[in-house]
Amino acid sequence: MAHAQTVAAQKPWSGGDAPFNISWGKMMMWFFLVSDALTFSSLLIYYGATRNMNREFWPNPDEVYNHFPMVEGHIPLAFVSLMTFILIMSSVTMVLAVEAGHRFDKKGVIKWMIWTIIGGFIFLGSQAYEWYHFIHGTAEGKILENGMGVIHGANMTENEYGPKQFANLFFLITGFHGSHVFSGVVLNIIVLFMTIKGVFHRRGHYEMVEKVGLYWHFVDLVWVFVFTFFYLI
Amino acid sequence: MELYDNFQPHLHRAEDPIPPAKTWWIWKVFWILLAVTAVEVGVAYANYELAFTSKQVLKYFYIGLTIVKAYYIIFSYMHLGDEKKSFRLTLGILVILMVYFIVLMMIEGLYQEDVRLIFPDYLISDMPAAAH
Repeated sequence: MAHAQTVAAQKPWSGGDAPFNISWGKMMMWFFLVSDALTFSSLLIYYGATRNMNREFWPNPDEVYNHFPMVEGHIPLAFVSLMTFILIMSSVTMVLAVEAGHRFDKKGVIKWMIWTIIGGFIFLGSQAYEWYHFIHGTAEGKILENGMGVIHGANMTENEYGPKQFANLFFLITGFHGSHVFSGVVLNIIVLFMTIKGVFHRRGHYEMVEKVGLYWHFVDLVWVFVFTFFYLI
Repeated sequence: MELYDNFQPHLHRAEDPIPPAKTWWIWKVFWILLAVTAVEVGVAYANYELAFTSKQVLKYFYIGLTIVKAYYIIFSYMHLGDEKKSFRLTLGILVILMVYFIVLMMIEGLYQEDVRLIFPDYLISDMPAAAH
């Protein structure tokens, strides 16, 4: 055993050791996130390329996403800023849960995981509101090109805002992000129940909280980019 | 799994006392993220009222601030700053691919726009019904 350890110390890649000094599960979570980052970046890059192809038709986001619950009139950026705040806040509670896990503080992990899950659900609800207004559109709408009627809001073939690709990419990218948030909430709930049952306490470490934490921060990270490219620019 | 069985992260015994929480850095990063987002929205609103600069200039400003936020999330909240340098490089190589792909596709988009503006019926004439 002592001999094996000296060999491993001399050659970190010769096996029997963790050369990156992180566990298998955490490293695989990072590799998954990297591949997922490529998927998201290719979607966002295609959004940018399509926008460059149709610069004169592309709608100004301030005129599309300007609703706020229970407020009359147009307030651009307000609601998405609130959504950003909610997701950053739930990211903070996730880090606090991971930090509590490092200290082996079961009650702390449970408390912060519950707050994280609540933040995730509020974000999903906000996204549903955002989609509702995007799909239903304004009262005026836009007259169709063939003059056969008026289109209100958006669907997969027509929308009142701009090119067809604009609405389709909105549905694709925010939908793909929303599905990530949803699966993140599901993972958080599973880990919460495992924490309550004391699985990690018996295991001796709370690394699973760290792994779902990585996924949750990644979802937050993607939203930071979606916020910039869809709503700010 | 066997390869990594001898690596145990943050192993505690159940009877160990719980040390006090050290959370100041979490809240510091939170305030940074919040402040950067507030600056983004504030500049956008100031530009609605005053129109002091073009959307083109603001675009690069927003992208810069987004990278600042991404840096704090990845290196602080995802603890990448605490990982080994070799691991950071393993993941960071991806950024080269992304930058290449971004530059490529943005140039391609502008070129396609030129094609469309110079030959407005280029795509239509490509269809079988219109070709004669």
